[in-house]
Order: sequence, then structure tokens, then C-alpha cells
Amino acid sequence: MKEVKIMKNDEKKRVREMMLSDYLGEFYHCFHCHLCTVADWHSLDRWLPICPTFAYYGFESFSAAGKVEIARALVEREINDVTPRIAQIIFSCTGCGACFEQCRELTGFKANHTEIFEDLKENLVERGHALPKHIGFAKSIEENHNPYYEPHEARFEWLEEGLAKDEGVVYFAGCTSSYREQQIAKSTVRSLDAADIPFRVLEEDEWCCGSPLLRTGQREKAKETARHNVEAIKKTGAKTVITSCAGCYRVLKSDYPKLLGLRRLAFDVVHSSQFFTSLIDEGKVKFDDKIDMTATYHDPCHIGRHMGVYGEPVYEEPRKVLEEIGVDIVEMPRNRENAWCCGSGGGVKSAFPDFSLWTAGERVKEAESVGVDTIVTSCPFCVRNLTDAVEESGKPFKVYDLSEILSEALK
Amino acid sequence: MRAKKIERELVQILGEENVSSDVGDLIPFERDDQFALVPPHRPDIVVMPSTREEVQEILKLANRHKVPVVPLASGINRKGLCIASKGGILLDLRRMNRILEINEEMMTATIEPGVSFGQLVKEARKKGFRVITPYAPSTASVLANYMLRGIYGTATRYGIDHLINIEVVLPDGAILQTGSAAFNQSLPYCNIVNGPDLCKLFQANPGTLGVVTKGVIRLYEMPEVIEPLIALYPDYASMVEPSIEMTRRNLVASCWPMMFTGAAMKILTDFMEEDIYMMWLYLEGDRGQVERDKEAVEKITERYNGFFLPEVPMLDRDTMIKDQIWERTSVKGWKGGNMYGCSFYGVMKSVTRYYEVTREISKRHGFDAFHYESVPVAPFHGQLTYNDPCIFWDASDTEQVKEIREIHEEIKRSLVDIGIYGWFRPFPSVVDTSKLGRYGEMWRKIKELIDPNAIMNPGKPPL
Ligand SMILES: Cc1cc2nc3c(=O)[nH]c(=O)nc-3n(C[C@H](O)[C@H](O)[C@H](O)COP(=O)(O)OP(=O)(O)OC[C@H]3O[C@@H](n4cnc5c(N)ncnc54)[C@H](O)[C@@H]3O)c2cc1C
Repeated sequence: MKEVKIMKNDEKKRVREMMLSDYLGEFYHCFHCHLCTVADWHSLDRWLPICPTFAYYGFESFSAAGKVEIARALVEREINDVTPRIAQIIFSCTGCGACFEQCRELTGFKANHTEIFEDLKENLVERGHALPKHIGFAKSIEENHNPYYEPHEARFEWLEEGLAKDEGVVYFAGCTSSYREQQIAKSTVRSLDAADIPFRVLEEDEWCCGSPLLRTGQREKAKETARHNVEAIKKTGAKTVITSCAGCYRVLKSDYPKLLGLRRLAFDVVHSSQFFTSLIDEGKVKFDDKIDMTATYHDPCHIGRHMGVYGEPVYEEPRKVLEEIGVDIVEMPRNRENAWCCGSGGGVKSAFPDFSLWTAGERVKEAESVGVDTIVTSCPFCVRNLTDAVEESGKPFKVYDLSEILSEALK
Repeated sequence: MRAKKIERELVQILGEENVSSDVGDLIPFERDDQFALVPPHRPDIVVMPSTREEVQEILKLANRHKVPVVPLASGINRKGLCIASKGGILLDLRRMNRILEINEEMMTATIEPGVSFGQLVKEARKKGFRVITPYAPSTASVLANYMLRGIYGTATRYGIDHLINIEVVLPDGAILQTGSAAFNQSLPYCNIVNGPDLCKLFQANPGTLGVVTKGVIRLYEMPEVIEPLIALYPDYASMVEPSIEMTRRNLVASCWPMMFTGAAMKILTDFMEEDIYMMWLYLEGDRGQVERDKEAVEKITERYNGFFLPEVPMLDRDTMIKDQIWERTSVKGWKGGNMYGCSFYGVMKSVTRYYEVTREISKRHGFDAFHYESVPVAPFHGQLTYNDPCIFWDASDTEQVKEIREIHEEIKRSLVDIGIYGWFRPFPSVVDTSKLGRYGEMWRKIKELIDPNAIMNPGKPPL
């Protein structure tokens, strides 16, 4: 293994550099085959791109192989100055994990690219290269406990009176559903109510889960919010937390234990699609009047590929719920492990709106290519970006969150 | 000053979004898998043209300023061939990725250099054709690979020459068409008219004579049946005669005699630790032909003490067939980290010696994870065989880097002593044109004639 020089006079920096430098051996094992940029053509029998940044920007630097070389050069001190272009290259990665999904099956490269690139983002943040948009939402999270510059008091304004109880499972609504995509939060609680599931919300104790911070290299700042949320959930005594947000799900379930140095949390975290699948399996929920709908399903990266690495991917549950409801699912060529990212994650939607919208537009085109006019997904952030792309295209396309279809079916 | 001026001119040609001299865009090009043998070096600027006209303008500018130009079609050659050893312009051709024509009558495809095998296979299949593919990542450029003369899954039956004509932008910006395209651009499907085949002159020159902007390649009928078989043998020597017989009788489309040491098998499978000698065979054709060929292949295998492996999970039939059509999904040979290879052409009857010598060198230097393959190539006159001694190693270990450099020199010397035809692909750490006598001299003179300012990919053979 190559020797790595470590800055002595800056303890914090040392810790982070150590983390990035831990991958150095693996950096030498990437031989630039670029298979990380294409969906698995053997199983798909098609040739389709899978890395949004490389597909959009085109320069080698934006591919996973390119970023690995930049990481190596930083660790080996071949470059000391981070240029604005390097910041653009690193921060425009949506962190969708598609590169690792391809690479881990095919090559000897053993490190997880998504983790490397998040550490790389953190490295850049520590060097003072955080992007203004990311600094902005981090400040808002600190002040308002949400990244949208919205007042914290307004967090649960969407909640109809009398629905939430002081018992049962905790519904962790998340910032996007609380402030931007309220129909998702409303439908989720209506569905819980319709299924006779007592639930509560954390009210003023629900803070941003920290996903926007973690995914943009601001890990230290995410610790406080993680600690707070874990304590707040613990105080309720609930054993189960339900999220309808893919980002919150991944963070609560997989990042919190790591961030807080815990072996496991005192409660179980489930995505709403998993929760309702269990209810269906147990016969507690039935859909007598089936919905007549044909749609495609978009797999959000955070419950799909990411959880495939850190636990169990949530691919089948949303599909099962939709099928039970009566939705005829027509799969897009790139689905499950091979899903094309919606383009909004990793702080990309705020910092690189054009690229983000293009990525979502590509997904809408793919949905169109299978002859449907409806996309269902399980993530408020995917809903937002796909809806923006639909609006931009001016096409009569519909984008729903699974919870919306579910609550309609349970009416 | 000069660099800034050149950059400004390039921006004028290509627009700002296709030009970068930022260190972040340059670092990814500074080294490749072969960095132990071809030292890393950064280009000064990277450009991404989309048209032939843009390439012409770039070359004119580079020639005027005497700035090196390194073409790159997909950059996965593993032989240091796209390393800008003298800096200059990295000409990334991936935006030139149009399939210009798939001609069903002529059985050809006309493509740009950025077209990957995966992309072409997909389009050709729509019309029932097959592309001859290497067992390489499907991301590789078809034209770059055919220009470098690759080795293909089906080399035993279909050989290695699948390029008909090319269009080249010469260092002065002029355009050269080869073969029938020189005479009649609407009929570019023939290479053997109008004097010598100039396409061949450009082949196996790694971007050192000009930039290929278009090529006409051969497509083939998709066989009705593809039947993969794996035969195991007691040792390498036992595989030589059956390979010769199967090739001469044209029984197999692919014949890949290979060996993996136990240490290599452990890396690849996690559970097997035995040395293994095996032949990957693909029978192809209509059902009747495949049945007849299979019968003959079975008899030959038995006669030489081989036996057939039942289907195993890692090498299931479906994956093997897709490997043959689409190229590999798998680059699992790299599971151990890195892979050293020094491929060459030799004579089939000598492969046991090539194998024994290279394995011994590898072992002596402490590398037990070793792999060897020797593929008979059509036409098989001269017992033409592609050989590749491979060593699994770890490039992050500086000690191993040193050892690999020594091994490389030893392997080259020993193989020359045994007698080989020459090196597969001209890459900087193997070809020494001074050892080629008049031929080498002539090669250099041709280079000087076409590229007097030596701007094209300097540091690569022949200069
Ligand atoms: C795991 C693995 C396995 C492989 N197995 C095989 C195999 O079985 N058979 C095989 O044949 N190959 C194999 N290869 C090599 C690979 O298939 C590449 O296609 C091939 O080496 C060319 O690389 P490339 O397409 O990336 O071209 P590049 O690396 O982009 O270019 C290669 C050379 O061609 C020059 N060049 C590129 N484009 C142009 C142009 N338009 N005009 C002029 N010069 C140009 C470049 O300057 C460079 O010198 C393997 C590679 C890997 C990583």
C-alpha cells in the first residue's frame, strides 16, 4: 500500500483525510473500463447509460473512474488546490449508486463509490469548497430544522386534526412532504387511518433527518439532528417508525446507527410500502374496489440500490402494493438495480438545476417509451423532480407517490 | 501565453463546453492500468469534438503550433496508449458516436470512433446481424479496437480483420479515404482496389498517423445456434494438438485453451484452489452443422484425455452465449486488483514452452496467481496463435510495481529467445523499432512523411 502523508497540524482534517485515504489501494484497482457508466446489458439485452453525470457532462472527470482518479490525486497530494471545476465535478454526482451497482458485480474494485464520493464531498467541504446552495440549506436546517427556509412551527400544518394519536407507530413525515409535497404526507396518514393503524407524529420534535447534509459532505452537522431525532423517537416509546420518504428511510435506518456509533437503534424503521405490504400479507388491508390504472414504477435510489448495500433493497414491496390495488405495472427497461436516477439527490437539484431537470426528463422519456402516461414512485423528492420534468416537457403525464394511490384505493 | 492562446483558439472551434484545461478534467487521463510500464503524464488540455470538421480544425491548429495530439476513443486499452507522454491536446472522441449506416445488403456498418461495441451490437441485432466482439468490456470503441487489431472470441473461425475502409484526418487537416471510398465515396464497401490497402497502413498505429473519423466494418450473419462447451485437460501440453485439429477442420468458432493456477482460481472463485487447464469452445452454425461438429469435437477431446465440464454457476450457458454476442459483463480477472499482460503472436506448436517459461518467471518473482491463454487465429496458416501470459497483481503495492517491471523485461527476452511472430498491439513498452531493421526504418520514415511535426501521439511506436 502506498504511504500517505497526513497533515499533522489539523486534527479534524487528519481524520477526514484518513478516511478518504483508506481507499487509496482501491483507487489503484480501477482500470477505467467504464462499465460503471452502462446498465447491465446482459440482463437487459439493451445498451443504456446508467450514470447521469457522465451522460450529461460527457467529460471523463464526471464518470466514476474520473472521480476516483481525482480522489487519488487529492489523497496523494498531487493536487492541493481544489478548483471550482473540481467542486462542480464532485458535487454534481447525485450519489445514486448506479456505478457501484455495476462495478461490484464485474470487477475487483472493492470500495463503494457512493461512499467514496460522499467522503470526497466532505473532504472538499473541509477544504472550504462547500457550494453556496448547500451552505444555505445547511444553515436553514440549523435554524429551522428544514432545508426549505420554512418556519419550523409550520411543519405539521398539513395534518388534519384528530388523525394522529398519542400511541402506536411514529410517522416520520420528513421535510419535503411537510413543506413541498404535502399530498404525500396527507395520503400516508389517511391510509394509516383507513387501515386502523394508530400513529403519532413527533410534531415540533421532528427535525430534518439530515439526509441533505450527509449527501453533500456535511456529516458533522448531521450528527446533531440525528441525535435529536433518535432521542425524540425514543421518548415516544414507539417500536416502529414509518417513513414515506426514501431519503429519510435510508438515513434513519442505515446512517443513524453509524453516525451515532450505535450497534442498532431502539426502534425499527420501515418504509410505508413495506408497512402496507405486511398489512396486505396479514390480511389486515384489502382492496375491494380495484383501481383501473396502468403505470410504470420508478425505483428511488435511496430505498433501492442504497439499501441493497446497507440492508435489504425495497424493490418489490411498492410493486406488490400497486398490484394489489389493481395497478397494471409496465416496467421501464431500467428498473430495480438498473434504475436511472431521477436526478434530484445529493444536493444536485439545488446546485445544478438544469442537469437535475435533464436527468428527470430522461426518465420521463423512458416512461413514455413503454407506452404509459403515469409514473408512480415512493419518494417525495423523486415526485418533485419528475413532476418538474413533466411540466417542462408540456406533456400530459402524471406523477404520483405510492401513498397517493394507496389512500385513494383505501377510501 | 502560448497555452492560453491555443486554448482560446480551441474554444473558438468547439465552444467553451467542449474544452477544458482544468486540472480536474486532466487528472483522469494521466495514467491507466499500465502505469507501471508507461509512466503517468497529464495532457495540457482536453477537447471533445463532435464532427470531422472540428477534428480537422483541431489538427490544423495543433500542427501549426506543433502541439501533441492524443486521440482517445474510449480510453480502456490498458497499454498506456492514450497517455499524453509529452502533454498536449487530449482529443476525446466519445461525442463522435454516430452509427451512420447499417447496410443489410453489403453486411457492413459505417460508424464513428466513439461508437462502442455495446451500442453497435444493439443496433446490428435489430437487423439480424452480429458484430465480432472481443472478450473485453462492451464500452470499448469498435473502431479503435479494430484499428489496433484485437483478439476476438471468434478469432479461430472469423480471424481478426473486420475493418474495410477508414476516413482519416491527417495531421495537416487533410482528409484521406482508403479503399473504394477513395474512388467512389458512395460505394465505400471494398478495400482491395486502387493499389495497396492503405487502411492497413494505419492499422496498428496507435493514433500516431492521424485521426480516424469514420470506418466501414464487416457485420456477420447471426448463427442459428451458439453452443458453448468447456473441456478440461490434465495439463497445457494436452490442449495443443486438439486445438490444432479443431481449428484445421474448422469445427469451432472459438477455441480458447487456458490455464489458471490455484492461486488465480482462489481469487476468481473464492473456493477452488486447484490449477485448472481448460478449453472454452463455441460451436456455431445451423443446428445440423453444430450437431456434426459437436460429435467430432467430443471425439477429439476424448482422444486427448479431455472431458467436458457440466454447467457450473459462474460459467452458465446463458452468460457464455451473451459473452459471445455482447462481450463480457465480467472483468473478473481483475478481482485480485490488477492484471499484467504481455500478449503476443506465436506458433501453436510452441505454446507449451511459452506457457512454461512465463509461468516460471511469474512464480520466481513471487506471483502465484497466473493465467495463460493461447488462441488459434484464422487463417491458421503458420499456426498463428494469440498468446497472453497474465499475472494478477496489486498496483497499489510499490514493491510489486518494481517486480512487475522486472518480470516484463524477463518475459520479453525469454519469449524472443523461444521464437515468436511479434507483439500483439504495438505498445510503448514492447515495440522497439530499432530491432526491426529496414522495416522499422521504413515505418519511421512513413511516420515522418505523414506527420512531419510529430504531433500525433508522441512517445508511442514507431517513434
Ligand atoms: C478487461 C479487458 C479485457 C480486454 N480484452 C480484450 C480482448 O479480448 N481483445 C481485444 O482486442 N481487446 C481487449 N481489450 C482492449 C479493449 O478491447 C480496447 O478496445 C482496445 O484496446 C482499444 O481501446 P479503446 O477502444 O478504449 O481505445 P482507446 O484506448 O481510446 O485508444 C487506443 C489507441 O488508439 C488510438 N485511437 C483511438 N481512437 C482513434 C482514432 N479515432 N483515430 C486514431 N487513433 C485512435 C489512441 O490514441 C490509442 O493509441 C480488453 C480490455 C480490458 C480492459
